[in-house]
Order: sequence, then C-alpha cells, then structure tokens
Amino acid sequence: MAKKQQKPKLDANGERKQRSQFGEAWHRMKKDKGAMLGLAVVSILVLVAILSNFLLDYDTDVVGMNTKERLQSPNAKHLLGTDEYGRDILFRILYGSRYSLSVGLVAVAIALVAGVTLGAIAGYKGGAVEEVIMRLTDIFSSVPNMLMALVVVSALGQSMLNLMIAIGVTSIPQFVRITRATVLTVRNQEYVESARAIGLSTPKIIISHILPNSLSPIIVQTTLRVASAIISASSLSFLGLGIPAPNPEWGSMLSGGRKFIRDYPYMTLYPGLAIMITVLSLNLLGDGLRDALDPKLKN
Amino acid sequence: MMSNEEVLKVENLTVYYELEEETVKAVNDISFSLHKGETIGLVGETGAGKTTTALALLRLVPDPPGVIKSGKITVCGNDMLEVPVQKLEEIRGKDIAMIFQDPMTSLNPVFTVAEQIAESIEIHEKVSKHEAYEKALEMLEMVGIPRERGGEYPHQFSGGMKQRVVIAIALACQPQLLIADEPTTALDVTIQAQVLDLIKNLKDKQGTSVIMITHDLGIVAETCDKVAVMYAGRIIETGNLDDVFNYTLHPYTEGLFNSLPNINDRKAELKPIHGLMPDPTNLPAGCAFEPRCEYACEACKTQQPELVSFTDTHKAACLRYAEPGFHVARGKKHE
Amino acid sequence: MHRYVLKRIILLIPVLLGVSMLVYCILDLAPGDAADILAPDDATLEEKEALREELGLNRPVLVRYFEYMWKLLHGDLGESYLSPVSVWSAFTQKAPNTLKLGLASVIFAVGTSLPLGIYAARHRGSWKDAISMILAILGLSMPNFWLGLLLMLLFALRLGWLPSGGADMGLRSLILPTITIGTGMMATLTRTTRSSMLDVIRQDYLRTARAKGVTEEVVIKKHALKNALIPIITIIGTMLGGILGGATLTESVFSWPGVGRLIIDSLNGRDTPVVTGCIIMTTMFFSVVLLAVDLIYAFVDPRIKAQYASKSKKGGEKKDGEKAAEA
Repeated sequence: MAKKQQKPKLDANGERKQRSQFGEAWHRMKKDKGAMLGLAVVSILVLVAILSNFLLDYDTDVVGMNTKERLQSPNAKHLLGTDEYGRDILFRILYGSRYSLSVGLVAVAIALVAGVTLGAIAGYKGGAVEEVIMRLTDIFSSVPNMLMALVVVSALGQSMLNLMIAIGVTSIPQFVRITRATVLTVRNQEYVESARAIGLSTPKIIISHILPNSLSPIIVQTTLRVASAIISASSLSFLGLGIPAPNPEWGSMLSGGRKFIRDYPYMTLYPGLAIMITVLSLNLLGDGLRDALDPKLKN
Repeated sequence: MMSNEEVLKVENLTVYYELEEETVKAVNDISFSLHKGETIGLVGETGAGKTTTALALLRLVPDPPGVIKSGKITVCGNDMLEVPVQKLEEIRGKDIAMIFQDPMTSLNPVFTVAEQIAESIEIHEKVSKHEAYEKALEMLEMVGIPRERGGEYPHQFSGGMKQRVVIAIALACQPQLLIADEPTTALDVTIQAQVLDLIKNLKDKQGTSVIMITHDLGIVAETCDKVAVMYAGRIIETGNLDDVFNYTLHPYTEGLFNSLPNINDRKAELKPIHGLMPDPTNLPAGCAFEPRCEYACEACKTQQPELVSFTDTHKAACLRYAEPGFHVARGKKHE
Repeated sequence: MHRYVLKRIILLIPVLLGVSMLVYCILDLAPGDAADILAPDDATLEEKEALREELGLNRPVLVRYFEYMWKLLHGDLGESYLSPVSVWSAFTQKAPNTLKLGLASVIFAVGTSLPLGIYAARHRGSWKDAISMILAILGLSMPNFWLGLLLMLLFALRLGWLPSGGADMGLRSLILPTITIGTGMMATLTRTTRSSMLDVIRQDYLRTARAKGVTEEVVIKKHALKNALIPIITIIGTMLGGILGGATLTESVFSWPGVGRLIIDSLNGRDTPVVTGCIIMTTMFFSVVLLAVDLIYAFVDPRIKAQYASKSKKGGEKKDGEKAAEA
C-alpha cells in the first residue's frame, strides 16, 4: 500500500519548512478534538487554582461558617448550594482545585525525578545495579498503591506535604519501569553505538541521546499519573487520611456530605463532578499526547 | 504445457486508495491475461502498483481506503468483483492462492505450521480433520520440511523455512493460479534459489499458472514465459520473454536493463535511471516516465501513451514509436 | 519450565520480607500507639505506661521488629493489639467477603468489556466506536467512591430497590458494590481490548488467513482473538490481584465487611500487627496471582513458552548459522 505523503510546506524562501519532532506532534494533536478539549479544561483549572487565592477570601468565603444559611439547595445566591455549615459549595470547589492540582503535580514531580533517574541508571548500567533497583521497585509495587499510600500517610500524619510524599512514592515504580524499558530499547540502537564510538562519556550519552528519545512515553505517563494522583488524593481525603478539614479538598467534601446525602445530595454531587472533570480532562490530554507523539501507536 | 484455457483475465483494472487528504492512484487501467500453465512476470520498482494488483485479484485490497474504481477480473471463469462473499471464500485458497512478500509476518504465531496448512485443506476439501492434518504433513515434506516439525510454531523456523510453509499453505489445495508477491525479496540470496526452484517444481507438478511479482529481472529470466512491465500503476510494456528481453521497446524497460551491473564489463560505470517514480497522488497528465526519459519529446508531457501492438504478443506504450524508424538503443528490431 | 516457576515462587520470599519490614517500620513512625487508643480517656500517664508495658510496646523498635519477623517466619502473624484475636483469624474472617466482591467485579468487567472492545475495534472510526470510547474514558475518570455514593443515592435511598450497605442480603447486597468497582475496570479493559484487537487486525497473518478462504468471522474469532487476548489476560490478572487493595474505598462506602475496612479501622486504631499482617497477605495474594497470569500467558503465547523453557535449559535458541543451513 502506497504511503501517505505529507505535502511539504514552503516558507518565505520557497524552501521546505521542516518541523521538529515536537512541532509535528503538536500539529497532529491540534486535530484531536478530545485532546484539545482536555488541554483547554486543564488550562482553565490551572487558572482557577491560581486566581481563586486572589478572588476568594479564605476565611470568609471558604471556611467561614454561617449557620443561618446551612443546607441550602442551589439558588441565585449560592449557585451550587451550601453545606451543613452554611459554606458556599461553589466557592469551596473552586478553592479546592488548589489542593488537588498541587498535590497531583508535586506528587508526580517527585515520582518523575526519582523514577526517571533510577530507571535511567538501571537501564543503562545494567548488572547488579539494575538488579537491586528493579527488586526494590518490585517490592514497592507488589503492595497495592492505595494501601501503600494509606500506610505512609497514617504513619507520617495528615498534612498536604505528607500526602504528596505518600502518593509520589507510590508512583515511582511506574516511572522506573518505563524509563528503564525505553532506555534498554534505545541503548541498543545504532546511533548510541556511534556516540560511544566517537567517545562520548556515559552521562552525556544518557542525557543527550537516550533521554530525548525516551521522552514520549514519559510525557504521556506523567500526564496520566497526575490524573491518578488526583484520584488518590481525593480518595485518601475521603477516608479521612488526606488533607484535613475544614480545608475544601474535594474528597473530604464528599465524605462530609455523606451524612446528608439523602436529602441534600449536592454536597456529594458537585465535588465529585469536579474531580471527574479534572481527571477526565487530564486523561483526554494524556491520550492525545500519546497519539500525537507516537502515531505508530495510534489505532 | 500450454493449452488455450484462460485462467485469468484482467480488464481495465483501476484501483485507488482514497485517503483523507489525497487519493493514491495505485493501479491505472491495466489489462492482461494468463493461460493455463503460463508464468507471467509482473515487473516494476517499489510503488509501481504490483502488490495492489495482486490483492485486487483476490479482492483483498484493504477497504477502506482502497477502492476498485473500475475493471473486471475473471479467475477460472468467476467474476471476482461481483461474486458473493461466500463464493469468494470458496475460490480463495482453492482456485487462486497467494504467497506474500514477508514470511516473517505472514504466519499466525499462535498456531502450529501444520495447523495453518491443514486449515486450508479443511476449508476446501471434504475430508476429516485428521485427514487434513495428514495431508498438511505431506505438504510439509513436499516443501522440504521434515513432517516431525509440523507441531512447531512459526517462531521456531528461520525465514527461508517460514516461506516454505507459506508456499505449502498456498499450494495445499492445488490452485490453478498462484500469485507470488516478491517471494524471495526478504530472504538471503542463497535461499532465494532454493525457494524459486521449489515454486518451479511444484508448479510443473501441478500445472499451476503463476504470476511472479518481482523487481528482479534475473528472476524473470529464470522463471517466466511472459512479462508485463509496470510503471506508476500502468503496464507500459508486455510480451513474452524473448520479446521483452531481446526486442526491448520501452525506454523504461531499457533503463531497467541498463541499470543492471554487467559482470563482463566490471570497469563500466553503473547506469541507474535518474530521478524517482512520480508521486501517485499527483500523476502527470502525460506519460508518467517522461521526466526521467532520455527519449522524451514535447508531446510526451501532455499526451497519455496507449499500449500499441508491435507483434501478436508484444505491446508497448510509448508515443515516440509513432515516428517511423524510432527505436530505443537496446534490443533488436522486430521484422 | 518448572524450574522457572519454582524460581519465581522462591523470589516471593525476599519480596514479602521486604514488604513486611517496610510496612512495619513506616507504621512505627506514627505518633501514638495502640496503648493510646485502648486506654480509657481518663487514664493517667502511669496507667498508659503500664498498658504499654503489658503490650510490650515500650521496647525499642528493633527488638519488636525482630520478634515480629521471627514469628512471621514461623507463619505466625501475631495478635491484634486491640482485640483478643490473632491477626490470621481477623484476616480470614474478612478476606472471603473481599474476594467475593472482587471476583464479581472482575466477571462483570470482563463480561462487558471484551465484547464492547471487540465491537469498537471492528467499527473503528464510526460513531459506535466513538461512543464506546467516550463511555470508557468517562468510566475510568470517575472516582469510584463517588460513583458508589451516586448509585447508592439512586438505587438504595431514592428508589429503595437495593440495600445501601452491608453484606447481609446476599446477591442484592453485591450488586451496587460490584458495579462501583467494576465500572473502572470495565473502562480500562474495554480500551485495552480495543487497542489490542486493532493491533492484531492489521497484522499480515490475517491477510494470509483471508487469502486461504477463511470466513471473516473465523478470522476475527479464531485468528485475531487468540492473539489479541494475550495482553488482555495480563491486565485482567493485574486487576484480579489488585482486588484486595482496590476494594478499600468501595468497602468504606457500602460498609462492606472486607479486608479494606479492616485495614482502615486498624490504621486508625494503631493496630500495627493487623495492618502489617493484612498487607503481607494482600501482597502475597497479588504476587501469586501475577505469577499465575505469567504462566497462563506462557500457555497462550507459544513464543513466551519457548523463552521460559529455554531459560531453564541453556541453548534453546536457534543460531542464525543453523537457520541458514536448514533453509
């Protein structure tokens, strides 16, 4: 079957414009409606997270109790209703985005840095070093994620930092595996042999040649892990082991709303919706990145 | 042994691949026929449309995006493009069979080789499963693989042996027409000769007609009775072996012969055809070979050449032959 | 082959030891201990200390840890700090409930996702495919405790068709928790099935099968599916193994008397032996299931079987020189 040929774009000089690898990927992704939607929503969420600190006052809008207005259904003054302490649900949800996004990003950042480093070393060095790292990784990943995070949080105490650490640590194994796998594939390619043949040092080879080619799966994994970190964070908060009340973390809002679910379901409905929208957009974005960065994988 | 029974007749076949942004004109109005026992070589560079033609004969052109725009294909009396699916499945494997290019990917990794051969027999012949398996083992022996290995999986065989299995599958039901799509391209040179011999022996034994798709003129010389040269989806020259090799007409065919290194003249420079085949999504209005042709004239740019008969058997599509006395440098002239 | 299996089983031991050490030490870092929980609110410091001494909690951590490991190696998971039961019996009391839930969820997920994934793959690019994929991505983006609460709200509290918690009503109790856990699994599995089928659908050997005259239905159901199942089985196995951990949230929402709830209650009660014991058992279960999946994988894919077999005896691979001679 004949290959589809890209018509080369011409620039001002009438010469072929070459796009970089990422430029190509971006071009492909622009066509993916789901991915673009995901990107848009994520951007909006980030904006909300940043701006809500300025536009909302923590003490009055977010945690200030107002028993006169408790348990209101959605109305003109409180668009999503109020909770049992009279706090506006919408404001709490908007402010709550700060917790979810920051925990998600920091936890994954921890996992990324630690995981990629360990994975790259394991993949490139091989031998005993690789064995030790992989066995440790196996130990960490043989405990189901949720349980591991539970244990860490309950040991270290309830705080946002500990939550980030707990979730971050449980995400490390995935990054180690992916990095090691791509490093192993790339390491045996001929262009690495060429680099070695001309005398490049090991760290330089890893950084300049191997990692750039391993980037694609790592980027995709990062996006998807942020999504699952947010679910983990809200799950732990739901269980009472995450970010403590009265902070408006979405999971703990859900938990707080349980008692009233029968007659005032929106205390559980809306925060959960917020979680879902956030995670959905990250998943759409992650999928889109995966399709765009490696079209061979696209089905 | 040639008889006049026509096993295959292709008339004005045109196949396009309609993609999102463009259309690939893979096969453009080709016609040829094949009689019982004949072997025709379908020659051309990569991208000339040979594989698409072969797939069309079995109605296996991937759809989407492939579309058979026009044409008629008759195999052993059956109109391949009109026949209902059930009949099609009866014909495939029984009357017409195909050997694909890449043996590494043509076999299903989770079934044993004997199972894969036996499946073909089970479908087309009224025998029990056990008998089919027995016959499959016999086929293995016929292609030179010991029957004890029938229970092994494809990954346990080398490339050459895999190709033998593919041949066994194709010939298991003794088809009248065999299409061999570059059967030796993916193999080592030493193995090539063995595989070609195998095809030749089986063909002689069973009286099969063969379409040998290849870009290698050496293979054509060894195995074929007739030749059809394809360029940019068109047949630009066709005739029997002697016609095309010794009385070469078309500039492209001449170019193919010239680009072969000559073992007798090791000091001579290699003479490749300069340029590339045209983009099949953007074929020129005139002769597709014109940009690379050293005999090209003005008319060639705008007028599409048609196949013209020079003898009963020999045809070529080149405008310059309208001029009396014109002939390409290579090859003798017909009387 | 048997050597490989044996080797994997033996490797489990250091993993389990590592896990137990990890968990025990991390939990020990926590402020407060079981004595704090058990002692009545008005207990004095001395009374708490006495309780601590009684439980053996005032000894240095290394001593306690070694004592724990020693017992563990003898198959003794120890006793709960909070109630007079052995960890083992606490675990075995709750484990069957979680397993029941897990199995039901996996069956639900597999039963729905395989046909859906195959359907989506065959109709790739059409609106049917698009809808399936949208549903799938929604399903896996939903936090499962939220889904559980919504289901409970609708079917139990508002409509009253199903119980809102507990495991006492047999099959009816099982329905909502199963759907809650199963939805996420179904979503992931549908996507995996679809992508695996799509990979297989474009393989050349399917074309060979068609050229033989095999009917399209058989091509998909026999030739394609057997190949596509290989990665799918791994995912199913991973899900099955992760049941004990993943059910935690759902058990909390539906008050399901399973291992997940046991762990949470024990964490809150600083009942270290129970937590450690449960996690060790869970890990062991997970690892055993993964091993079983690997073996099934080898059974289904002859290429892997060959790899495992050749790992046990050297020189199983053919050399290229040999191959050339054979052809």
